[in-house]
Amino acid sequence: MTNAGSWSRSFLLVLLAIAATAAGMGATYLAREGGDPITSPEAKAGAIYGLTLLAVWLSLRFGTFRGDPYLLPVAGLLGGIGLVMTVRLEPDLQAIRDIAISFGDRQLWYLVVGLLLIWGIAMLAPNPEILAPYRYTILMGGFGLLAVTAVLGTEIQGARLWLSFGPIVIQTTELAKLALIVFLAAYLSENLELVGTSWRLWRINLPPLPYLAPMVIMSGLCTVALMALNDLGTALLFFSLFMIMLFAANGKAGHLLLGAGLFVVAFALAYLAVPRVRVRFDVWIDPWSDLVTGYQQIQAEYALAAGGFFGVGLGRGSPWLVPVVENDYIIAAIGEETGLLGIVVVLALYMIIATRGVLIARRAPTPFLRLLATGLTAGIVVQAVIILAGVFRLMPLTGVTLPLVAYGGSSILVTAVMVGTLMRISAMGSRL
Amino acid sequence: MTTELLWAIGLWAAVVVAGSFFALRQRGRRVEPVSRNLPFVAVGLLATLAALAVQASRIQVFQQRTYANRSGADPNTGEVTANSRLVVGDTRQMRGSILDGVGRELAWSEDLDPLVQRRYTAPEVAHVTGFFSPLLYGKEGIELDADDALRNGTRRGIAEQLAGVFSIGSLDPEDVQLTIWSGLQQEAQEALAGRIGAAVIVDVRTGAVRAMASYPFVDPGQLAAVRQADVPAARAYWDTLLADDRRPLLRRSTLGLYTPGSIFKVITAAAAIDSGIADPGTIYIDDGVFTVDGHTIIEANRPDDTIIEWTLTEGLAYSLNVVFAQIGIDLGPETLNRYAEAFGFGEVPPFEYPVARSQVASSDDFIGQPAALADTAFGQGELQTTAVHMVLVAQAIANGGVMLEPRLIDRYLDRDGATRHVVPSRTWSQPVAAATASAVEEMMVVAVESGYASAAFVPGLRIGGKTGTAEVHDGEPHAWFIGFGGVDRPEFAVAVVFEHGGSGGSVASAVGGQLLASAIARQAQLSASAT
Repeated sequence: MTNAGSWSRSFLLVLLAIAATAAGMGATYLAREGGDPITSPEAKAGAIYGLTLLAVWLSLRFGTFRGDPYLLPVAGLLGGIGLVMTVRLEPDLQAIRDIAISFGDRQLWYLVVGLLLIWGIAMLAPNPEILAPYRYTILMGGFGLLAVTAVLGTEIQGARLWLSFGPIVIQTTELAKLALIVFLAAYLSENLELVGTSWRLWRINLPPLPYLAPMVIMSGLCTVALMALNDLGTALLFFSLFMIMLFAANGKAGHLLLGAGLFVVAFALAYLAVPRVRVRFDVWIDPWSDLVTGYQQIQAEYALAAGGFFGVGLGRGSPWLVPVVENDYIIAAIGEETGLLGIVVVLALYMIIATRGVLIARRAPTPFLRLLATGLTAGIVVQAVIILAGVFRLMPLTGVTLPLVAYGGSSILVTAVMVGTLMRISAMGSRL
Repeated sequence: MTTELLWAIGLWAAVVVAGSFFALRQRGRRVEPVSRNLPFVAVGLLATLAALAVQASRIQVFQQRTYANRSGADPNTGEVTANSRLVVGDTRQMRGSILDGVGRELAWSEDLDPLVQRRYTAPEVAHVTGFFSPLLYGKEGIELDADDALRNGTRRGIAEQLAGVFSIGSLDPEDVQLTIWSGLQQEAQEALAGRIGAAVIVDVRTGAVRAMASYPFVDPGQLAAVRQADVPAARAYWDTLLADDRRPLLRRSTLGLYTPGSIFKVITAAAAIDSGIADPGTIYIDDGVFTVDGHTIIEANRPDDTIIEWTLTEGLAYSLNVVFAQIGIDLGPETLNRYAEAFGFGEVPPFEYPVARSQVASSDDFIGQPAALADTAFGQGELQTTAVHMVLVAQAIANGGVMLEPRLIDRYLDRDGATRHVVPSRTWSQPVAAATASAVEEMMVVAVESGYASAAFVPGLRIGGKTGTAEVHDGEPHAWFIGFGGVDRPEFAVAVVFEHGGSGGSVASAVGGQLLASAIARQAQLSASAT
């Protein structure tokens, strides 16, 4: 499905990813003004990451892989941007929080393992179709994980999303996301004709409720569980994935509208019942109305405004003034130090993922694989949209990670699995 | 905030519309299940990401300044959430020094690496610089007014500004040289001797402020905390400032609004002469009582109860209320009001510090009543004014009727001490003709040499002045003196006020005369050492 021309463009892209990461590391080192450049953390992270990315690319190019050549460099550049920001933020975060966690090192190894996961899945994984029969098992597994987390999980900043195994902490919602996508793809492809039919009651077309019901219940349960876990962002993500994959299956725009309407009703109820939802909504409408709850949003606005068009330069801003900047608010740090230009680059990379992902889905051989690829693409892009629109105040902020960019192992590894699976599917399709 | 909400809703609506439009154009060459629906999904995702780019440019480019400069205060604690990036610069970058008129440092920065600590000279002198409290209370006074220059330097001239547009060439912080003479400032502060009040001395020909004493005052050194360890002490000092019922944060020289009392007679006399209804020799009858509109004014100021005929010059020298009540009636409300406004009442003099607005009356129709007009003409009624404004009245009389803008900043210097910009002397207004001014000037000299302002007299100098005792409802009267002095022509003007200082004559005018003499001596010394 690929030709030499697209691989040479891919080569330029992967060189760009490596060069941009190296340039970012260099700028960070210069701004920090300290130490031997060869042994600096910037040089170490840049070299290891760049070499890994190049090795994975070469192995795909000259190995047996015949799939999409663009996803890897794009994911690699997003990862590189995140790595530069994490390395750059590390000394500031250590200083203001008085902790010794080596953020940069951790992110580097998450990303290296992530790249290897992409390589392994793209090259070696069996056809994802084999997952389809286990759809209910997978869904129950994902749901079970959430339930276990609700009971035994570790609470961080008011949300209980993490399971601890000794030193390893896993964000189980990330795994549940994968399970939901696989389940939806399998269920919808199995019932493809039926979910597209309508029930006519007098003159009104009704959705095919008997066929949607199991799915609605399953997705609804996940959403409710997430609300119980206080993870509004993931709940919104799951709901969006459900709507997008349903639409991909049956093409009924009316169902999208109905879903949006239901969502508004559910949100209104949540606003009345859940204080956390109310706070988030009020902060969105006007962060200045309550300087305590709005503090983080206000600091993010200051950071973005400080950046302007060109940014203040890597290592020259004060992004650490934004609480939890390395995670939910990483885009504020990017916006402050690299400006609107940096943000537009990040958005353009997600646009490429959206375009390539949907192309892969269109050309996939079976409905299950098409729906799976759609779900994986939407899983990455919609998650980015939810957090970015939150930080940019286009909707209430709900905390999810910015895929591949934000600090955090679970998110990076699961996103790597998603990218790898997309590439695996692309290798089975007709020519792109 | 509703505009932001409407904007967000509009942007999302645009995504839906644009997404639908492009998706419909993409529609259906493929008929395979699922695949035929996917163009809609792609376009939806792309349109949403495009909307995010639009919003990012809105925040980062179009509304950049609004966002960067917004701030709000917590209604419960009063703590301000402002853009901390400004503070980061203020605690880590070297800041220009503030020098006095002869080059002594009043405020300077010390590098504690990585933090930078602001230091000040003795508080009674340093308080004229305002304060600089980056972590807690912000900036005030010169530290605020000249903040750009002290922080980054100011781009001056077309070449530097053009370079600035393209971010070429960074500037160094500039030093700011004040017009203040620290020695005179110290002396004026000592002359207040712990009494609440103010004393301001300006150069008659340039408007340069040579001393601006005020009591009580704020010690800027105690607010300049940049290390967290110093914050509690600064907070504690601030709390004592707030708890002190003498209100030290209210700078008396610029913000202390007082009834002027008899010093306002200078303006009434100037109005009478300038409008042609009187000259210094015009005779008025003052037999101890004057009744206007049922309101009786008792004269307590006549030096000799047997004399009932007084010239205007004598009226000013002996501060005769009955004489000035009659002049007020003769002038009428419009003319008196017009001259008061020409002398700056109702306006705020351009100055590095905020100045309280002087007023003739709280409402427009007040001096339309004859009794109120009579009271106003001798300085009571609803008149309110400040020391920094009243010193300009004396300055205008001593400068041929030309009132100058007062100024504290003399020049901006680069790090090598070379002058980058000299602040020019500017005229604020010309309330009366030169002839009027010189007539009033002569009358004020008589008031010092043979009238009630004699405590200001200094042998060998020509000093003119006017005392004031401003009756107030809530205690002792305020004691005022305004005047000018020089060796043979006026060189400096002074205003002294003691809040609830008692009958003004002697206390305030003695301080005024002493400060004028000291300023004149310092000037002579400076000229001598310059040549």
